[in-house]
Amino acid sequence: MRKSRRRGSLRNLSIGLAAMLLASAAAPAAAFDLIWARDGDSDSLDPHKATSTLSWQVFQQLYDTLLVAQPDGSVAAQMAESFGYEENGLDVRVTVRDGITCHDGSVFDAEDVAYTVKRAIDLPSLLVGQWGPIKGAEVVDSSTVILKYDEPFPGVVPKLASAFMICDSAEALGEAFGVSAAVGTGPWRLVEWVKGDRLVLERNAEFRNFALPVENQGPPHATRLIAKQVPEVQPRVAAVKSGEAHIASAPPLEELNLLKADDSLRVHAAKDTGASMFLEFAASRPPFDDLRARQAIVQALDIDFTLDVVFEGATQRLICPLAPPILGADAEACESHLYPYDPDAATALLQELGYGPDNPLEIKMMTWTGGNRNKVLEVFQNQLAEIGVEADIEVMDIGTLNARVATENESKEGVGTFDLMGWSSNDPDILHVLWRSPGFYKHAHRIDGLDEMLDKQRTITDVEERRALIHDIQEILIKEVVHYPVYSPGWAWLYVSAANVEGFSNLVGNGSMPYFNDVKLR
Amino acid sequence: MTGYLARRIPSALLAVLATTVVASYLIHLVPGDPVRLLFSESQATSEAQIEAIRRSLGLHLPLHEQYFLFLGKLLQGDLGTTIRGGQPVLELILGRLPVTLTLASCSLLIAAAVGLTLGFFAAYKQGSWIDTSLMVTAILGVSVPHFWLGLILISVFSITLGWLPIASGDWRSFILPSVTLGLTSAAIVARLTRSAMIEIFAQDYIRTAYAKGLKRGVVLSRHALRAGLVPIVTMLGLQFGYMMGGAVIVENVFSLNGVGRLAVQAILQRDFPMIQGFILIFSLVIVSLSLILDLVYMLLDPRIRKAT
Repeated sequence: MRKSRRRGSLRNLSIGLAAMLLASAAAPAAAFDLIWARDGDSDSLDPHKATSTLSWQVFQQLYDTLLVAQPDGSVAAQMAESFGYEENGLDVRVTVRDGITCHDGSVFDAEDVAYTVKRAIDLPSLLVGQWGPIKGAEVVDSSTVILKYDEPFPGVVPKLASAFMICDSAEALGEAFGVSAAVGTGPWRLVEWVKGDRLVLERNAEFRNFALPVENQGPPHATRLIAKQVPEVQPRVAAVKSGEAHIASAPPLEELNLLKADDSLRVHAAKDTGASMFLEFAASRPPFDDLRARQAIVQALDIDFTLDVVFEGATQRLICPLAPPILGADAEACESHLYPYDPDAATALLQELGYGPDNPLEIKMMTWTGGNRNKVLEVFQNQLAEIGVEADIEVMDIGTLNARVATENESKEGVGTFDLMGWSSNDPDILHVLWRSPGFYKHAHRIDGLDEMLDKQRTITDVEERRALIHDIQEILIKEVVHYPVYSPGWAWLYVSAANVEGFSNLVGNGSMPYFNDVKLR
Repeated sequence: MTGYLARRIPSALLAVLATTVVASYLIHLVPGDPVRLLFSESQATSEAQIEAIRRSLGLHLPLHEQYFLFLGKLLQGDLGTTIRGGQPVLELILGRLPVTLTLASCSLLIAAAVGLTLGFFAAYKQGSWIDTSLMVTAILGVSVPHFWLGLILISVFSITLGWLPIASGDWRSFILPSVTLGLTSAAIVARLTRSAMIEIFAQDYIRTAYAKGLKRGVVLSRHALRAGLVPIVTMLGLQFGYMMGGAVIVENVFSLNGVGRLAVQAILQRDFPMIQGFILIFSLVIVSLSLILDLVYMLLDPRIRKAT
């Protein structure tokens, strides 16, 4: 009797424990708000009215794309079920998946794609040039749309992987769209935006992930994502340490090792963002109108050493003008074209040009504020001093630098200048924008055949054929020291999170746009 | 007083208008094209498209035409839209102005309370070790940069003690920035109050008041302090303007969403409509403050009231 009662008690205990385990397994994860301390804000919530990295980081949360870039540079179908060129080799047919819903509950279909394209290619859209020679989008049926082109445009595939789709119900919102309202299909839906202060998003319970490089196939785990502006770097990291925020963008580079050693924090560095930091020279006047002077400078710079000193492993040496994962950013194709670090060779080149101890070369180096770029130039300054070059440094805001580079490139007088510049993209066509004469900064390089090659790469739809041409273009840009690669990424690539944050490691693609879909709190 | 206001208000408005004219031209002297800046890190576009965007924003027009367009919209109560993001300028500024005004007002209260008390006490104890130590403290207070003091306060009160939030957005967010901004100004107010009061304590009418047998408290509060208030109020008024400017740095350190931060961003982005709007509103605030101060002088000093 006693035995049977004991057995009964054990059985009851087992059942109870099993029930508790089952209950805990079936219970939904605890609701939580994810707080993201950011160094700046989006310019707009309208993806056609802003191009800054800070803006695109927000668009990625609100909107989704038809295709999505993979870490290896390939693209996969996200909201598109299929895509491909039509028989004429110009138009692109896109079939949209069924069952995708917009944040307002309407169905996302081909009409929404056509609406997005029309809106993107009409002024005042800032992306008016991004779709190439597109004529428009023709809706075939509710799930099929054809992008109509006059000429071949290979950039359309990476474009579809970065073009945030807007639902056509945005039209009814009028001027409120992008300011106080947003209608997309992304993992988060807008609750509130107080520009410059906070952006409050809630999880889109209908969100489906088909190809995003995250594990979570459904909506994000967090209930809300709150992006809070904390412009100063020290308070931003302090907010994570004190528990006010879970994740902070742009931690201080100077303290990266201290942050890594802090058990309460984790440092995250994005790779392969498509961001390229490079040197460019004012070739409109001596000395940099002569290739030997440009070559002497880059041969005097020990770039690997500089990156070790300044970034301590937080960034990578860039080998090609294009940064991975952009098509053609293949280190093995570019490596042999780089000029090796050789101060003696640099000195000899300068002597050929008449510079030496009695007639030292005086130059100016420029860059824009932040990201330890000034420190990169300080190390360069010391290295150049080793070969007798007297280099001054000027650090300015990006607006002034842009204007200054264009002015220096056109000026026929003054000391030689070069600058440490940065651009990001998802397609090699960025080289056309920068270097097809006259170029974004009105450069003075005149290289036979380069413009034709830059034009031609725009028309090749065969990926490998285009890759080969891009390799040739980059060879010229490196050998002529027009666009000399230094490092990647160079901005908006570092984050710090509290140690209890899990699943925040997927930072890929153009512009280092973070995914929060997998994030959980321990 | 009505007549005085009728004379002052038109000249004040003229000053605001002149400020907008000068500002509209000066901002274009800063190198940097706002349209190119839109594409300064990614998503580059061609020269033709940049020109098309510039035209769509009206930036291709001569400066005087741009200014008259601005003026035309201003008469309709519209300050235009930002180049970045196309948002209404007036709405953005008015949404943030209360934050900066609250910060400046709270800081002024702290500056007045601390500065007047310490300055008055130092003057009263003139030449003593208390006077010397208070003035040394005041010099230190003037010398401390807002940025440094703000970070120290965050480190102590938010991180170490955990008493106050770093960026909560509620009323507690104003405590540390107001103290940061207020303490620096308190040092200036204390030094001025001390000088003013020392001068007044040496006046014959103060001696007469004591000779009449009035109590010390009555002499100090009714005769000395009131007489010293005019220069002190002038200083406080100037400090308010200074605090509106100083708020730029403090707002950044404490993540307050005020107009100071907005203005700095607009300048860096060469967002001309936003810069014009900011300067207009800022000058309106300063001119209004100047008017209010004039009225306060009239209330404090019968001689000024009579003269006007």
